[in-house]
Amino acid sequence: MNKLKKWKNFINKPGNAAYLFLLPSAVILIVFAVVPLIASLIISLFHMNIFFTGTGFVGLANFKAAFTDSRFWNALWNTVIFVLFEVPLQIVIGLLVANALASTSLFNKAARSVFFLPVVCSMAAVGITWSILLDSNIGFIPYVLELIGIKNAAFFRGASTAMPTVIAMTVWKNFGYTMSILIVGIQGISKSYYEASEIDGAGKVKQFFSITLPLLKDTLGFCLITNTIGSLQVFDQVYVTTQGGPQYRTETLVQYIYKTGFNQPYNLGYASTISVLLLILILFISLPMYKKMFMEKE
Amino acid sequence: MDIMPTASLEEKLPAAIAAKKAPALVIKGNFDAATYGSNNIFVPLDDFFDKTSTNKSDFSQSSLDALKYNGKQLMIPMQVHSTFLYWNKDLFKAAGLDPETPPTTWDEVAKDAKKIANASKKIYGVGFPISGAPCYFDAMFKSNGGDVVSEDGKSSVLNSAENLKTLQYIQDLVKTGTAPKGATGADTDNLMLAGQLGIYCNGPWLVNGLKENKINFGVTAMPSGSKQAAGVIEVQGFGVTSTASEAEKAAAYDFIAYWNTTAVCKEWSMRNGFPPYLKSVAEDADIKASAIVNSLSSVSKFGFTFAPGVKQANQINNDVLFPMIENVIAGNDAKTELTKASGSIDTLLKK
Repeated sequence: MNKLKKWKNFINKPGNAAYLFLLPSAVILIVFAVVPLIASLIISLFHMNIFFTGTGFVGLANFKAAFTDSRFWNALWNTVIFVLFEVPLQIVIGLLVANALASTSLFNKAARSVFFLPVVCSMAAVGITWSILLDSNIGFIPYVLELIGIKNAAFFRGASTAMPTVIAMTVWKNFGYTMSILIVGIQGISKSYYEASEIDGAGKVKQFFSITLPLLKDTLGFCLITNTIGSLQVFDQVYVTTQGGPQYRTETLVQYIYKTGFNQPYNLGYASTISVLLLILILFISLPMYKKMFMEKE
Repeated sequence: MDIMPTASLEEKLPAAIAAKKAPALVIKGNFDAATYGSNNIFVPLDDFFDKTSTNKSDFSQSSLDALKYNGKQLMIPMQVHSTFLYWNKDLFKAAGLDPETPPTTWDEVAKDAKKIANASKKIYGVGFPISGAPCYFDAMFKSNGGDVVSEDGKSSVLNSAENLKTLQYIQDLVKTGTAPKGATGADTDNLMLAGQLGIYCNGPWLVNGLKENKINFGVTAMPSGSKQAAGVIEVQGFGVTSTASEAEKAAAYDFIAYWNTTAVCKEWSMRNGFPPYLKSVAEDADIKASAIVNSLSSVSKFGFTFAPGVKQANQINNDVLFPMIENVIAGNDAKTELTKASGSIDTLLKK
């Protein structure tokens, strides 16, 4: 009884009750994020295959192998290219569309829903659909392009066109998400700023650059960081459309991690090493961004 | 029973085995014997013939030998196949070729394919996939007197004048638009099934798709190169996973025994065209009378085992040779690609 009373006293204090409410999320975070992260760090120091046979500690040998692996550097380069183009495109297009559709008219609401539809579709379904649409032999879009004189459009098949096509497809699918976040941000800006600027003779373009953009800084910062982190882990769209080809021109880090770990020779140790290096890359890029966007403000 | 594409099985099965959630009975191929044997994934099935009424002498010895690892019977045969040459008779006729006379050499393939190809109608003469297909290039190398791995399986012999000639042959046909550029196995399968491909080397599984799509086709033995006709023999077999209980193993033995009866194997051959590996099926009158099964049974004349006993055989094909073919088809210098690939094979074989 004493113990029960002590427990009741403990959880009745607001500060202590908060821990109980946090507990489910903390458990999920620990089980699905922290434990796999620590496991990856440890496995990266081992030679280990998926059957757990021949497992042995190799120290930093996997890391040394990665730095001399031309396929790793190729995957890193492809990932960086993807992020450098996909993130700004998604934010710029999302911003322009958000600015155009921020006011609450019936048309705007309908348009927002249309642009958000691809976001709720699975990337696998989107990838398969675009693969068929853009197929050189049976695709509708290459067929139409041939009718207007553009022959042999390679899209996913061409070494120089595959990555731009993957980027374009990803932007098409995801910009609706960025648009939705930015619309909320724009709608949060007081209308008095716009009214005052109208009195001063400012046009729409001036209002956009002088009022909307500066006041959206935090929202844009959030979009930039989350989109960058997400883009660095690009996988689904590559797996479904090009499988990393042609000629490894779209093979990204996560695609390479997946192939290394889940295809022969099922090298989990080396796959974990590349995962750790990707984590370091994500931290290297996102932490300064976070500091610049949010901590300096504080 | 779970049915899935080979690529999915390759990814899911090892993880399922590691998590001890794998099925008791799995179908894999002779290329996987070394990987699954060396990692103790499959249990040896040497006692299968003693514990069941299946007649070991009814099996072709080569089908049993292909599924052994370190002298142990790792799997029991389920089907045997190679690649074969399919041709579209209507496209042959439209190109002014005799629809009943398929090419018998790779030189004839090139000649006929160039006549069939029609870029304006997206019709190709022959298909060379860059991934996701049987490894036709292994057969082409062999047919021209080349090879990939030395007889002892310890070094690469890829970098040879004969193999260079084979690569240049493929490159020329792609450059002239006779073969599609950058097509995967699924793409070339679809082209053949859509009647847009004149000549295609593929496995027996294409037969039913061609019949369903009402393609007027023929199938025959692999063509000869400058040395011989060659096609890689693949044997798929039943394996019992090491995580199976005794009861599951007994049930698996029952099913394997049921499959390897004359009646079932005959039905499999008749319906799907796979050549028989049981002597009793090969002697069956209906099997002998089937034109397609007869064509596909010619595998005994040209079939060979690729890199027998080499654990890295699958990796050599998927991670070295297919990318090499892709680069050559993309227009890279064939000699450079051959040298690079040969070095990669040596590196793999040393592991």
